[in-house]
Amino acid sequence: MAQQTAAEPRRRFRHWRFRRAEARATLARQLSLSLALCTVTLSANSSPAAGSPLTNNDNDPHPVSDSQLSRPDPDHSSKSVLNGVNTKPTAAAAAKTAANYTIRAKLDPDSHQLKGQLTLRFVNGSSKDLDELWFHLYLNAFKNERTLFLRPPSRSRSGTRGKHWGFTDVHSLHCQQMGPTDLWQQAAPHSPDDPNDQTDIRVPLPKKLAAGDSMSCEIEFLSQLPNIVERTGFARDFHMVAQWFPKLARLEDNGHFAHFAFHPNSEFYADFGDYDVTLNVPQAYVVGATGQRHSEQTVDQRKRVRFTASRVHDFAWTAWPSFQVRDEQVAGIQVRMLFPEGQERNAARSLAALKFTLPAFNRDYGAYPYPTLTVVHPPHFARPAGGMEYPTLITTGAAWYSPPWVKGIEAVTVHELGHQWFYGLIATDEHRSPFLDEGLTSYAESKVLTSRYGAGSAFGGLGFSVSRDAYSRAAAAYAAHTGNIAWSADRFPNFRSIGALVYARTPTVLHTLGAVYGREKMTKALSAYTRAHRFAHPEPQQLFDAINDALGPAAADNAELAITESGWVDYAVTQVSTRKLHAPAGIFDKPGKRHTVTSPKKTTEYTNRALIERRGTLRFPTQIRLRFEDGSHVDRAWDGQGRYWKLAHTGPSRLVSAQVDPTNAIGLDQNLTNNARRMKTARAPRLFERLTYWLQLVLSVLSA
Amino acid sequence: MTGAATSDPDMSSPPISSPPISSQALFCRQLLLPAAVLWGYRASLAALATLPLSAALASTTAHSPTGDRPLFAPGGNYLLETLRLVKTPLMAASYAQLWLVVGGVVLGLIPLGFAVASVLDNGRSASKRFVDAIRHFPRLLLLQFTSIAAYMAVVYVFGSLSAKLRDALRNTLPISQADITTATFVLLGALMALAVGMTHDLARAGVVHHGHTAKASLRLGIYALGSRLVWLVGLRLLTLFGGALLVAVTAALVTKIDVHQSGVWRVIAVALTHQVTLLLVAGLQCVWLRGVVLTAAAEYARHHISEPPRSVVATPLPSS
Ligand SMILES: [Zn+2]
Repeated sequence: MAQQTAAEPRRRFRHWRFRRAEARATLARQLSLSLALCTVTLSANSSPAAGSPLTNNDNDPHPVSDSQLSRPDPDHSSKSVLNGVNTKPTAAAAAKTAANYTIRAKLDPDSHQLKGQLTLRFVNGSSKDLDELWFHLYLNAFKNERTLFLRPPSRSRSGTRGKHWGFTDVHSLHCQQMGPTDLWQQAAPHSPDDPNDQTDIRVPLPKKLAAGDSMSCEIEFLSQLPNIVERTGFARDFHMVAQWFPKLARLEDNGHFAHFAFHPNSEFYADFGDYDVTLNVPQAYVVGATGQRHSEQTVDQRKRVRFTASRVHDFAWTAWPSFQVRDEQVAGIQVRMLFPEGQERNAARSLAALKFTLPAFNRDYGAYPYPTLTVVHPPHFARPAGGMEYPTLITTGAAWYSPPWVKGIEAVTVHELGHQWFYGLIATDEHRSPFLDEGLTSYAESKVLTSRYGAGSAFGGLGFSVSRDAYSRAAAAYAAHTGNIAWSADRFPNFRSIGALVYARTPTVLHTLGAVYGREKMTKALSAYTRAHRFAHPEPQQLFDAINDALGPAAADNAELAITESGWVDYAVTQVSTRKLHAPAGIFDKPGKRHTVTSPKKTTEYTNRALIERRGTLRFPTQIRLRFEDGSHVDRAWDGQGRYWKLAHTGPSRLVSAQVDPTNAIGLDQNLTNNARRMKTARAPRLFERLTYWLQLVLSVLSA
Repeated sequence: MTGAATSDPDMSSPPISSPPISSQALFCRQLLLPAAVLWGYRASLAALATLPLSAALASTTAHSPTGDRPLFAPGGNYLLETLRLVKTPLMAASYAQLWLVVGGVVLGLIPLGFAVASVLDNGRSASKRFVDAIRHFPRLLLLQFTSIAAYMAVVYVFGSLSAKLRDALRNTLPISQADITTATFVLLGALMALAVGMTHDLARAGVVHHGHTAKASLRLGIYALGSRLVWLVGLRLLTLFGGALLVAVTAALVTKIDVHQSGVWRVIAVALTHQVTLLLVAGLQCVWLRGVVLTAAAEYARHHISEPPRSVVATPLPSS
C-alpha cells in the first residue's frame, strides 16, 4: 500500500480556492457597499437602518428607539481564552439590513387562517441589478401529498400529515418602484422544474432594480395553518406559527437569490432585517413571539399585540389561551417561559439550563445581542412543535414526569439556545450547509452539557452514565462511510443520516480537533469565527479559515477532509513482541583478529516492539503507551503521518501491552477496540459477573 | 428471620402438624435450603446463558490493557463502542440463548416446586421433596400457562382501557393530573396482576402440598385469596418491596465499589454483594411461599376439600 504524502491534503484546498477568492471578493464588495450605502446598522450602538420600518414608518404611533432593539456586546473586550483573537466584527460581519418586514396579521382560531398585509422594504445589496424576486411560500409544502415535502416517501422529521392541509395564497404584490401592476399576476405558478410544488416562486420584475437601490412592496396574503407538521401549524387551539408569510429568499452578494423548494430535510435561509409585526388574536390568547412586545391593545374581544425585532432573519410566534407565563432575567436578558399547566418543573429546568448556558455562549461565541428570549414548551398534543429555533424564540419539550437523570429538557434547551448563534447570528445557509448550523450547535450543546454534567451529560443515574460525546461518537462512527457531513440538506437519504453525520459527526470532528491540537485553540477558532461573521452569512471555508488560524494548517486539513470528503481514520496496534536482549551472534572482524560469537551473552534488557497502523485518510499526531511487567509505562509520540510505525523500545522489563491514543483524544477513531494489543489476552470477569447478575435478576422476577 | 415469623396471627392452630424441631434447623430446612436451591438454579442457568454473550462482548476487550474495565467507565464511551461493533453477533447469541432461558424458566418449575414443598415440610427428605416436585411438574406447567393467559388478559384489558382513559382525561385535565389519574388506574391493573400471581402461588401450594389437580388448586387459590386478601396482599407487597429495596441498595453499593477502578478485590466484592442480594431475594420469595402454603392449608381445612393434604397424611412423621 502506497504511503500518502503530507502534500496530498493540500490539493484538496484547490476545491476551495475558488470559494476563498470569491469570499475575499465578497468581503471587499460588502465593505465598499457598506460604506457607499452608509449602512448604519453596522454595530449594535449605531442608529437604525435607513428605510427601517421601525423609524421610517409614518403610521407607527410608537416609534422604537434603537437602544430598545439591541444590546451592545459587552464581551467584545473579553479576555478569557481569546487573547490574540480579534473579537470585533469585521465589515462582512456587520448587519446589512436587506429585507425589512412590517406585517399585520389576524388569526381566525376556528379556521386556523391568517389574513395578512405585509410591507417589504428591500435593499438590493448585491453587486448586480435585479430583474426578479424569489419568494418562499413554505406553508405550501403542506398543501397536498404531491409537494416536494410530502410526496411519498415522505421523509419529514416530525409531525403527521394530511388531516388539515396548509397553504399560503398571495393575493397581490405591488411594488412602489415598479408601477401599479400587481406583480403576482406574473409570478411563476410553481417551483422551478416542479409543477407539483409551490414553495419557491419566481416573480419577474417589469424593470430592473439597480444594485444599491431599495424597493418597497405591499403584499396581501392568506395563510392556512396545517395541523402541526415540521414544527409549524395548529393542534386544537394551540398555534405555532412559523414560516407563515411570503418570505423573500436571501439575495447573495453575487446577485443570485438563494432559493430552494422546501425539502423535508431542509431548514431555512434568509436576509437579516427589521421586523414590525402586529398580531390580531382573540383576547384570551397568550402570545409569544420573536422580538420585543411593544404594545398591546384590546378591541372587541380581540387583542392586537405588536412585536418588533431588529436584525433578525425570521419571525415566528405562538398563540394559545392556556399558556402559563414565567418571566425572569437571565444574564441580562428578559426571558419569557410559556408552558402548559403541569409543566412547571420542566420550565424551571429549562430556565436553569439557560442560566448556565447563556453566560457560556456569551463568552465563547459573542454576547447575545437581543433584549429578549422566549421559550415555548408546547402542550402534549402539539409535541411536534417542540425542539425548534427561531430568532429570539425557541421551542422545547419533554414529558412532565421526565426524571432528573435524563437530561432531555436540558439538552433541547441548550441546543435551541445554541442556534441563536449558529443560525440566528451566524446566519448560514441551512439548506446548502446544514452542518454549519446543526453541527456547530450540537458541538456547542455537547460542550456545555459535558462541562455541566460530566460523564452523565446524556444520562446519569442509577449507577450508570452515558455522555453526550460518547453517544455522538458512536453515531459518528456508525455513519462514517455513509455520506458526507458537508452535503446539502436534500442530498441526505433521510433524517437519520443527517442525525448521524451532521448532528453527531460534526461535533465529533470538532472535539477531536480540540483534544488533539488544543481545546483552548478550538475555543479560540470558534470565537473568532462567530465574532467575525456575526450578522453575516459565512460559508464552510470561513470556518476552515478560522480553524487554520487558531489550530494550524494540519488541523484545518483534517477538518476539511473530515467534513467535505468523508475523511476517516482508524488507529490500530496490530502486533506486539517482547524478547530478551542479547549481544549479537556471528563472525565479527576486529583489528588484527576475527572473533566468532556462538552463544551471545544475555543482557538484563528486553527489546519490546509494536506495530501501529493508521488506516483511513485523516492524520492526527498521537501517543503510543507501552506498559511493562514491572508496572511502569512509557509514552511515545507519533506524528501519525505514515501508514504505520514500527516502534522499538529497549528497557529492563517485558512488554505487557501497547496502546495507541491512550487518552482517547481521537474521537474520530473508527474503531476503539483495536487501539491496544496485549502479549496475553485479558479475561472479562466484570462483564461476566454483571451479565450473570442481571439475568439472575430477570429470572427472579419471572418466577417471583 | 424464621418461617414462623410469617404465620398468620389469625391461624392460632396451624392446620399442618409440625414435629418438634429447633428453630435453627427449621430456618435451615424451611427457608435457607429452598432459597439456596432457587438461587443456585438461577445462578447456574444465568451463568450458562450469559457465557456466549459475555464471550462475544469480551472479544472487544481481550487486548485492552485494563481488560474489561473500560466497559464500566463513566460516560459509556467504550461500552457504546463495543455494543456498536458486536451488535450483530451479540443479537445472534442472545437469540440462541433466549431459548435456553425459556427452557430454563420452564424447568425452573421443578426447583420452585421443591421450594413450595420445603417451606413448610414436616420431615420428608430433600430428595423425596425433589422427586415430588418432578412428579408435580405437568400440573405446575399447566398452572403456569393458565396464569400467563390471565396476565395477558389483564395487560390487554387494562392496557387498552388506560390508553383510552388517558386520552379522554388529557382533553379535560392538565396533563400531569390526567397522567396521575391514569397511573392510578394502571396501578389497579398492577394489583389485578398481583392477584393473578398470588392465586397462582396458592394453586401451586394446592398442587404440591395437597396433591390437587390444577383446576382444584386454582379453585382453592381463589377461595384462599378471597378469605385472606389483606394479609396475603400485605405479605406479598412486603416481600416484593423488600426485594426491590435490596436490589436498589445493592446497586448503590456496587456503584461505590466501582469495578472500573483497578483491583481484583472489587470484582470479588461486587460478585459477593450481588449473590448475597440474590440469595436474600430468593429467601424473601420463600417467606412469601411459606405464607401461601399456610393460607392454602387453612383454606383446605375451612372448606373441607375432599382431597387430603398429602404432605400431612402421606408423610410419616420423623422419629424425634
Ligand atoms: Zn438544531
